[in-house]
Amino acid sequence: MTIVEVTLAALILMGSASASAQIWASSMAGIHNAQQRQLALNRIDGELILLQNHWQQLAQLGPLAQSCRAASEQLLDDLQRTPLRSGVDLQLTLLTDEAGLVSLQDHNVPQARRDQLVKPAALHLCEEA
Amino acid sequence: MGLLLSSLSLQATSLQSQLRFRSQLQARSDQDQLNQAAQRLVGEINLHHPCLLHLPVQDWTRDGIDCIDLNRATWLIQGGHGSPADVRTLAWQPDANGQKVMLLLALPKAPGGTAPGGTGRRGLFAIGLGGDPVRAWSIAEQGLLGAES
Repeated sequence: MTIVEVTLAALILMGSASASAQIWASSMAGIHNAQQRQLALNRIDGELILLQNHWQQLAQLGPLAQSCRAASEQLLDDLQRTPLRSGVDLQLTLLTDEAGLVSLQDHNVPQARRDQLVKPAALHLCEEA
Repeated sequence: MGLLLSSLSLQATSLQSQLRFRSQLQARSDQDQLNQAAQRLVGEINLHHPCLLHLPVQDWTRDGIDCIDLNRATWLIQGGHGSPADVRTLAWQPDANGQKVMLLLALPKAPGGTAPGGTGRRGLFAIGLGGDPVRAWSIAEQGLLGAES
């Protein structure tokens, strides 16, 4: 084996080792991110279930108000006061068709988001449009 | 060699988890849209067409239903209520003792397959009835099903 061959082999070995190390590092980072994303999804799903339980329980107590608009406002007001886990944002929007849009979003993983609609008329929380 | 192989297999795992995340997001967005449509449909029925509560969906467009006209009933079935998506009502099946309704809704299906046009997934809901006069007072998700084949 000549010195040229040895040098060439060493260079190839070093190059491939460093490339592998780079792929390895970026994959590890990818796997770490995947874990973070999974945790974020679990977090907002959990919060959503708590909020859903909350309005289902309200529905068992009977109508909140005669008018559906008033009931929507009251419901959103109530949800606004529900304590949330840290790291999750809750945004409540009163829609024109007497419904409330409940949006949950994770701080660190903004793609993890749920948009749930709650319509008091559907839960018999009000009696007229 | 070992390092190269292990790094490639790690990369495959990481790509796979990215794909899984994307499909989880899609499933959640489908679920949210079906849920929104269920809330809108049930709200509409509770307020304006309560006689439909005890009628299976096949009977909504029958002659002689007094709380809704044909156009309105067709509109409810074909998903005019389900904005933003046109969510169709596939089944509305009251149980024998009048306390529960099984509701099956379907998202629109894009001709080419999946998003952005719609995945065609279906959502099953249990609607609880009660009170006097009878109204729907609970909506529980029972699960997300695949598209109709």
